[in-house]
Amino acid sequence: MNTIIGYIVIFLIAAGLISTVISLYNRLIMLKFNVDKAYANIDLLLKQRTDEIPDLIKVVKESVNYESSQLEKLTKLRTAFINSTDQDERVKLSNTMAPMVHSLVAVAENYPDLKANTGFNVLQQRVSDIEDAITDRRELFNESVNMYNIGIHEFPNVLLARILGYKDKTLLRVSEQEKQYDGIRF
Amino acid sequence: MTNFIHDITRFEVAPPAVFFLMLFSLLLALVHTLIFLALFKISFRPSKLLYILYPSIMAVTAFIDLRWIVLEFIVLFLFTFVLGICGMIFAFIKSVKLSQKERHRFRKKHHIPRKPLRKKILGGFFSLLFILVFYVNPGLFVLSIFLILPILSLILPSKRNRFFKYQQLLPTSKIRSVAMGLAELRGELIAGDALLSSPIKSKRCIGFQYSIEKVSTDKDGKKSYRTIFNETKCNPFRLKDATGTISVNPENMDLYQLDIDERYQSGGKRYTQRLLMPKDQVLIVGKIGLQNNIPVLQYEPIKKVFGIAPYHYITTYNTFKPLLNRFLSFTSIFGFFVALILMSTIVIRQDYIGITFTPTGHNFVLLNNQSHNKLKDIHKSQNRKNKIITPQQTNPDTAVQRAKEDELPPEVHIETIELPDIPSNTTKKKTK
Repeated sequence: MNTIIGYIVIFLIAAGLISTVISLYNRLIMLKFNVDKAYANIDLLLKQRTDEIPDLIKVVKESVNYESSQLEKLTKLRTAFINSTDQDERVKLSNTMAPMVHSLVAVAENYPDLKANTGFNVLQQRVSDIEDAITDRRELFNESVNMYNIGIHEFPNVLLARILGYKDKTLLRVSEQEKQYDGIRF
Repeated sequence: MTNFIHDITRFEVAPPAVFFLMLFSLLLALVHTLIFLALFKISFRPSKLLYILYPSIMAVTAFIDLRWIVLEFIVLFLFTFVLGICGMIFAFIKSVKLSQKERHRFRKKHHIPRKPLRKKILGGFFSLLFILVFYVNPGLFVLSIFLILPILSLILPSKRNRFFKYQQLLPTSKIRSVAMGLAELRGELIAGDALLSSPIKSKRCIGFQYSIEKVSTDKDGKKSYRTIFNETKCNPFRLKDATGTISVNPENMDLYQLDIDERYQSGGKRYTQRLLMPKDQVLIVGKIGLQNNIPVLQYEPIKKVFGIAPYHYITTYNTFKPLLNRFLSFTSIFGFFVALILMSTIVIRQDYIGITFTPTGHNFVLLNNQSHNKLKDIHKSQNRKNKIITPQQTNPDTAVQRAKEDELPPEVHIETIELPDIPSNTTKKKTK
């Protein structure tokens, strides 16, 4: 009888162990894909912001005597962003475009005609919303990365993570370019 | 049987015996009255009918023929058993009918649909199978319970488990920037267009969870509860956080661990009401979809998860779950060693300790004769060094004798150590 009880206990422990390994594996997979999804969701917003650029340029060009070299530069950066497939490059291009788009949107403060333009106001609002959403999603991305990094370093997850070759992911940090504030230039 | 009747009716009963039999028939009348009253729910008018009837029949029989009175008494006595068995069957059928009637009334009151016949048959079949297995082979029954339940829970995790798993794995999104797909949101509840009226005290609320449990009390007075009715209702509402609001479509949404609002016990049933109120701080896991081009939080059909729980409960859960997991891990390790011990045969003799792992037949010797002797040698050398004498050696004669046996060198001085805590026979003898 003792042997049968022993077998039952061993079976239960084995079943528990297998289910734990399966759930750990699923947990790690989910954490990893959460990070990928969070990153992809930021990329979507970056793309959305880039899509607003032509309309912005058009409205600004019609109403204000804006420096044409800046507009051309912005258009080139946008084209490069659309054609790029490399994630890091896309982020870099987006970061370069961000202050230019900000200054383009902020132009209205000095031009009452532009401020009165409904189309521009709508664009301004949309860009502002996208910027807010990008900030939120960056936070979400960092939270996902943090959960993932903690997840792969926790015991016993760390054993499985090593077998699967999971490595730390880096958090999104504000670049020096973004930190720098040059004021609004025209 | 004929012989028995013949033997019984051969002799005439003496008049004093008739008197005693009539007295005993009164006792039978009492038992029969009780059976009729308790099991058949029949009360006689007049209430003492059987107390008059039985002795009267016996008296009449005695008057007609004294030989038949014993047989009559035996028949009345045996009738007690027949009446008892019939009464129990009758009471059982009546109680089944009564409970069926009550269930029907209950279903009608709470609009519960009837259980499909297919489910009833399947349930009956499995119950019968379990009972059969239990009677044929109890060991197999226990084993099947242990096998089936963990495997089932592994294959089919409950909605609740899925909800708590996802809330641990998903980062909390902000409403303003929440992306399409599975998401976790945290915020304050805002009532939609209409509020619901709760079942107890008709309180205005966004949603409620109402359950009725049947209360059973065992011999020790310990109460146990079985849920016989569960109702969850929720109206569309909005969720608000610091960045914005989002509509929630409550279809297929489960409410978890809501605080008890009202609870009372009446007529062997316990009624519990839990409410989802405006301004409650909650956490929701579900899918962000579009309805009329507006983001809406709704049921996630692929992962089959959509639930809401109070935020304070989620915090507590996330604090204590890792502790519980740790406890389970340690228990499993402990259980593993217990299983190994159960599966092994341990032999302990004076000069041998061995463990045999029964399934494989591997033998592990922990201590045999040789190692025992080695231990003895070590013990001796330690005694020499420390000049320690054990309490048993307090008798000088015995100590000298043992020293001789152990071949201690003559320079070792043996002292008697007084041990106040341990009363020894030697000390007692000395005082005498």
